[in-house]
Amino acid sequence: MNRHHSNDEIDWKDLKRKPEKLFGFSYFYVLAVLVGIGLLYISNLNSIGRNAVNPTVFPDSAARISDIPLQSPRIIPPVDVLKAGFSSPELIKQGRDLFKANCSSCHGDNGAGEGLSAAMLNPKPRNFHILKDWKNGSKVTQMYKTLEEGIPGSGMASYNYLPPADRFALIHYIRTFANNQPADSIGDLKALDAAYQLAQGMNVAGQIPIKKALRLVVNENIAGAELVHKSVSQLNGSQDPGAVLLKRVMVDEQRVMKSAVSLKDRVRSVDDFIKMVTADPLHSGFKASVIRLSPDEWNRLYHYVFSVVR
Amino acid sequence: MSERPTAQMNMKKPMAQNVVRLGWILFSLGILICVLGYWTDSRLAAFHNIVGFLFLTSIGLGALFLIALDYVAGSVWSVPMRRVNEFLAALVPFTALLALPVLFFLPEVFSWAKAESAVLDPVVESKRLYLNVNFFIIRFVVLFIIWTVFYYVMTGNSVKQDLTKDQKHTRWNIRLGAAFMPVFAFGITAIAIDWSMSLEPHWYSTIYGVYYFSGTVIAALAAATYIIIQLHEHGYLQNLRSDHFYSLGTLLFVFVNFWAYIAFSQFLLIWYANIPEETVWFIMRWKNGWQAVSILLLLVQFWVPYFMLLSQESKMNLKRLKFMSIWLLLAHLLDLYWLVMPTYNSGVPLSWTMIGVPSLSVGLTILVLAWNMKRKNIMPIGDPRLKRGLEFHL
Amino acid sequence: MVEKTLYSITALFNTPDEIILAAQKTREAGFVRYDVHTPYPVHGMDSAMRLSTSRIGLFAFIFGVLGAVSTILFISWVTISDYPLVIGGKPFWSWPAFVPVTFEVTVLSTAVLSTIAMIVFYFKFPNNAHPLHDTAYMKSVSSDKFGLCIQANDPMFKEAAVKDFLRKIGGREITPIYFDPDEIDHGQTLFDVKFLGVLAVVALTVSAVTYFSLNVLLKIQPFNWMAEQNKLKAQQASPLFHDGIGMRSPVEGTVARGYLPYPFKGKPEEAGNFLVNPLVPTQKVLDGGKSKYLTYCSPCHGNFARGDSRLQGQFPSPPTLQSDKVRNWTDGRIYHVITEGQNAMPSYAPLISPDDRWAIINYIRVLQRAQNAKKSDFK
Repeated sequence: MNRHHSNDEIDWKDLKRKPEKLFGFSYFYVLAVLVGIGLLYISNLNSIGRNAVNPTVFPDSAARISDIPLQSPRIIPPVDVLKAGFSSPELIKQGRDLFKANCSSCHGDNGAGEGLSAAMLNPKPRNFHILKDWKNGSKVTQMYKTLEEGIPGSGMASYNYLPPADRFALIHYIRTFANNQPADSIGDLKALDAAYQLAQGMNVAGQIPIKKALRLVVNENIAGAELVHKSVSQLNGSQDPGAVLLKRVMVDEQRVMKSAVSLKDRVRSVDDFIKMVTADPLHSGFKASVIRLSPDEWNRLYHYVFSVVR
Repeated sequence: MSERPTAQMNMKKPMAQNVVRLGWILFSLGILICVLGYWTDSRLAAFHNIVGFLFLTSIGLGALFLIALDYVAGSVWSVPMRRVNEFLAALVPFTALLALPVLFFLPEVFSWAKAESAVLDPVVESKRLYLNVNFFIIRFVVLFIIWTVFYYVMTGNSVKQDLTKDQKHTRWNIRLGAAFMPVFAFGITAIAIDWSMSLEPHWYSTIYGVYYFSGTVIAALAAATYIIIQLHEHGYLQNLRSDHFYSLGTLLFVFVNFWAYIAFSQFLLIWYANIPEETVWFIMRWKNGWQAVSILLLLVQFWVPYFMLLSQESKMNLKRLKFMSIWLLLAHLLDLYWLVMPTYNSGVPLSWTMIGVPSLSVGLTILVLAWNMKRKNIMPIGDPRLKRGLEFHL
Repeated sequence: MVEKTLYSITALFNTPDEIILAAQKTREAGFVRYDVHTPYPVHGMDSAMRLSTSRIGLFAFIFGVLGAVSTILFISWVTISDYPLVIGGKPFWSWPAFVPVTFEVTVLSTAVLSTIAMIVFYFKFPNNAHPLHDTAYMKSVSSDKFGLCIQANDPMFKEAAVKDFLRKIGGREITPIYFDPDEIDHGQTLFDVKFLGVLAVVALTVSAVTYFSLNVLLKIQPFNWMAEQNKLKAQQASPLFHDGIGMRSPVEGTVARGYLPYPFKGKPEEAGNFLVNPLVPTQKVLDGGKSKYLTYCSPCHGNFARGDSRLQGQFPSPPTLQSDKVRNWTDGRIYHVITEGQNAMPSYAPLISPDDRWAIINYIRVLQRAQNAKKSDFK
């Protein structure tokens, strides 16, 4: 021990003589204390405070249904217009629920035209409390027409997918908002029956699971996809002057051919073709410069493209 | 180990006459070309003058930095060769003289020095507090006075020690070296910004001072290495071992890497941020022929010296080390040319007047060396660490 | 006391020059099994001992190249094929950005793997027993002395002669080193239970520490500062702007990269006539359309496009998409509504890319088909 004095890692005697060397042994702890102080300081900074109030998470209110069941087409039995055309407490009660589900988001819960989306609509939704300037009128038969056809040019869509009985219930509920509603004559109701063939009942289309529908759509489009594919490969190998011209003015052969395949029934002449392409050249896979082609070149392009896809 | 006393062999010994003559010829030729340059195209000559000024500052100030670094780091191996750095540091006051002609052409070179540009250019106007002619000259004068004082005091201590052999001179120089470091750091950044970066007053790079510094150390080390080897081979610096040269070579290698590291750091950030007012500086150096110079610089300043200096043998091979020293000096000259000249005009200006700068630099260096060798011992024979320095073993 | 075997005779020297000279003389005397121990690498020792070039340089080179190449390949794979992200409008393969990482990994793999190679191949890790360990000789040569050690298994070894020789070349403190062959086993210990146990403990500890660092440590202050910056996030208010809204609209007339102005602004009928769905409804397209539909459309239009909002009264419910009107619209007409908005529905152009819009339309067609099935679909 004494002989190898200088080989010892810590020379205690020397340390006594020069106490400042102690720092070398202690600075780890100084460092640790400093880091601790720093952590304490930053955890108390205002600018990085934690959430004062925990965020509320709304559960998704809709029950998640992953697919719809198979349902054959059916016929909803006809409605007796002469019975449904007149108000009854049952109909009004039924209509209240339907109103909540279908109408209130625009017309408001109390029918004053102040629903959630009313602010964003122009023209504003109808206020059912005031019987003035109604487009079709507020008779049962007139309101039925509105529900059947919608009001074009406004936010009012057609509700012809609702069963007629439901529509009558809705109408009766809506009519309770205002007093002095005009009454329908028997003739009005009969005319309505005749106009919309209410006595025949309503055809409701069948439904199939979306998975199946998806498979059907894919299968039906295989032929189209193959035609596009074939047309593109034909274009790539072709030295036809039309093909050469097309290659010069296009950016995306897939889009060009897909557009052509989709349009082959709608486009009947060169003029149609020019109109379709120049409306938005880039969208249908052409360069913007395609608008500068001469009539002759358009002709060549048209005949080439549609000879390939037809 | 040599039996002859070290002190006897490393006393004063003047430089060979023909080398001094060569120095005079190169110096006069350089002066002549520079004067003719100012005569024919004063703007171009002023740009060349800036390159020359920065080049000699690199060598002289870099040598002063190496002296201070050796003292502060307490390095022993470099003691026998310290005098060469001290001789080179004598360039510092002469360098200041070399910069004087440019001061008469400031508006032609620095767009911020023009009176009318201030009105037109809000960016320059906002930097007016720093970039104005008076402050520019004050900075220049103050810095060179401080550095010259440091040079005289530190080398004076070293020379006094030859006679007194007193340790206190070493202790004083360590303190001075420590004091010199911050002055040097701020000063060289100011020089780099003033004389090179402010050529493009809109552009700025925060790493620019370090970039110039990295080149400075390469140039100073290369000059010292070349002179040390030459002196050693001609019987001046005796008793040096291959370990000494190996260490010099290693330092050179390190700073070649350091330069590449800094240069790439500067490039990467500017490339990544892709801000037009920053990238313009590199775009100027990537167009109109400068692209070739940029690639050449990368090869000359980094790739070639990297592989040439990589192996252990190459740092002990004096011939190769000497060659690489000259190579790196030229590389630094090219680096400065690349930094300064694109502002002159968009193309690469090749002109016969550009020979003036290197010629003058080499001539002046030889003359300063010869003058010092006549007055001072070639080794610090009074330094108490000299013996250990000579016996230095890696 | 166990019988001890002689391992070697050692001598100490004071300076690097002395040890180099001693090594040279030992080699010249014809000794083969001897070694030199110094507190730091002494240059010139290789040639004095006539050692051939160490292969560790080759190792280092291979590891370095390996590190560099694998890093470049890895980054390229990540940036080009695995997770291509446009960063700063630069190409995916932007080499300057790879330089720092490649450099670091090269240096790291070279240093770590060379060290491991050295420890495994030269020091025969995990065997860590050696006769010289724990001797006064080792203590000296790892401090300030330079040692020479001639091993007993040298063909020329004779104890007295070697001692004489070491004294003659200037060695001091000439000491024989003994060892216990039972204690020092030179055999392979790679599969030693103790070693494997230690490895397992190390692996577990490292895993635990890594888990702790990545999942706990990085989520406490101050390491989470980067995530919790004091900056404007989407939907945040800001007093900096006069209207107090933090999200700003781009300058008028701004055209985003890759997006062109919509040519049918305010012309729904033209859009319906001229815009053709460029996507063939393949399985892939429909899967994409479905995911976008469920993200962007279903909150209001319902999962099956029946207008039965998933938000249930917290937001207006739109009319159904199963109506005759929408079913008879062309794809372009629906595209126009998604692009421009309609009534209470805002424009989705900033949120959904054009191709995604077309995919969504394809999916809406599937939803319509499902709820208005043809007779033939029931077969």
